[in-house]
Amino acid sequence: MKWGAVFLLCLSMNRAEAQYESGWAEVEIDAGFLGLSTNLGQTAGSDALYEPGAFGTLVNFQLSRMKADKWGLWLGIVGSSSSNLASLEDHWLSEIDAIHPNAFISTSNTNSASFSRTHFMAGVLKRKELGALHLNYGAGFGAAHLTGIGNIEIQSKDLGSNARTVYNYDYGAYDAWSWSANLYADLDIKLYRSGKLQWMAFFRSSLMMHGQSGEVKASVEPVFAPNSSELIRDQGASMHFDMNFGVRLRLVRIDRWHIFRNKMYEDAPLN
Amino acid sequence: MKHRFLLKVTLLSTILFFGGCSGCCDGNNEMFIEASDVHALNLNNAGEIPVVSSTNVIPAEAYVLGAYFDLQDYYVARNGFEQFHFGQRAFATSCWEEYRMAHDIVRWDIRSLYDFDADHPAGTFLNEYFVVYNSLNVNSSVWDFQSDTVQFALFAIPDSSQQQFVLDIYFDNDSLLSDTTEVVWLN
Repeated sequence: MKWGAVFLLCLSMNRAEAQYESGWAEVEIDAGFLGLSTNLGQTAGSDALYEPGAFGTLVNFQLSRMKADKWGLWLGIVGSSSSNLASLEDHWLSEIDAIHPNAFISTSNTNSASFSRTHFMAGVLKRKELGALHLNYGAGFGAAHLTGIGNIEIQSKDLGSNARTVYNYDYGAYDAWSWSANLYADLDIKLYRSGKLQWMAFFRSSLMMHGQSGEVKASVEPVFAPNSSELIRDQGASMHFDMNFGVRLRLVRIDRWHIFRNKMYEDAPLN
Repeated sequence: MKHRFLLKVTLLSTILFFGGCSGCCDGNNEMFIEASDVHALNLNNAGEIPVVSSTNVIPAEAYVLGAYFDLQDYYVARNGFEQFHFGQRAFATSCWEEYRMAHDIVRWDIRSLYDFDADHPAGTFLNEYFVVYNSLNVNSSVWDFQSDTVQFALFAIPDSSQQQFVLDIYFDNDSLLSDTTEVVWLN
């Protein structure tokens, strides 16, 4: 998956190089912060090993190149982290409930479980002017790096007997790569312009989807029986709706900058 | 004039004493306690936690031997007076007392007055069949000092259902506390 993402990035850069021949337009550098990520849920079949919290923090960085009325290209990184406890406990309790043939009572010594995801993406975007605002929208594809930290310990006692078992799900080992795709739109407004540098503020919303392919180490410690452990893999996909504010630096008509015009377009006529 | 000065000094001292020391604490008070006696009980662990059985018939796989200690203040018992705590116990609100056992449990033995199985006739140790069961933590092997209870869960089925267990608790000062349960029928 990781090398597939690298291939896609190279492919997009190759296409960018092809468009480069037709001249530059504008380049934008985005730094997004004050982000809120919401977890819309997992697709059916997911084993819920990677189950981030309902809400999390979000940052994004993006480098875009666009031309008026044409599709541009972008490379971006989106990072999000969240913690989750209750739903993971409920999930594992239901799993253990299925394992035990009789009803059981359990308590949990859960610590904390936090998850983070980093998306490395490339895609296309387009810009529309809406009066003083600009509407940018696009789509991308790439790779997602998913990590998890923490462990959940659930202790159970069988009804009718002294039998007890400790189930320990170690999320410290969760470290996986998977695919990632998004659709996004943002609105920006000019804050300040100095020559060919234009500072903008933007609000961005994004629909993000990524696969899950990680695993956690699950250890079981029954009383008077050998301890055991196994690796549990998850599958499926997660969907998130992200929102964030940010600052955008727009390099206006970079194709006319002397540094490029002198080297690349000495004979190109200026519009 | 002299009275006004004395009044100011008295007021200031009162404020410093109550306002300055109220709510603060020089340190936690360590209270040493020791067990003076032990009572062995038959507990039924078929539910969420072991409880004193209302009958003398208990499922063998849910049997727990409970040991309840009579606790006493170590200094009171040994010296006849209470430990002196310097400070403002009467005013300090954040001081709390930390209880520590004066003597640790170093060994416990459980045996039955009846034959348990072919390998364990009456009077032989049954320690291998019991596990300390104070909390749900299966790794628990020490006595929780905050508790006055030690529980031993049985993980074996006796050949004879009629049993009566004897519990011996040894402390690190070579003292021994012992008690015998009532007769119980383990089905």
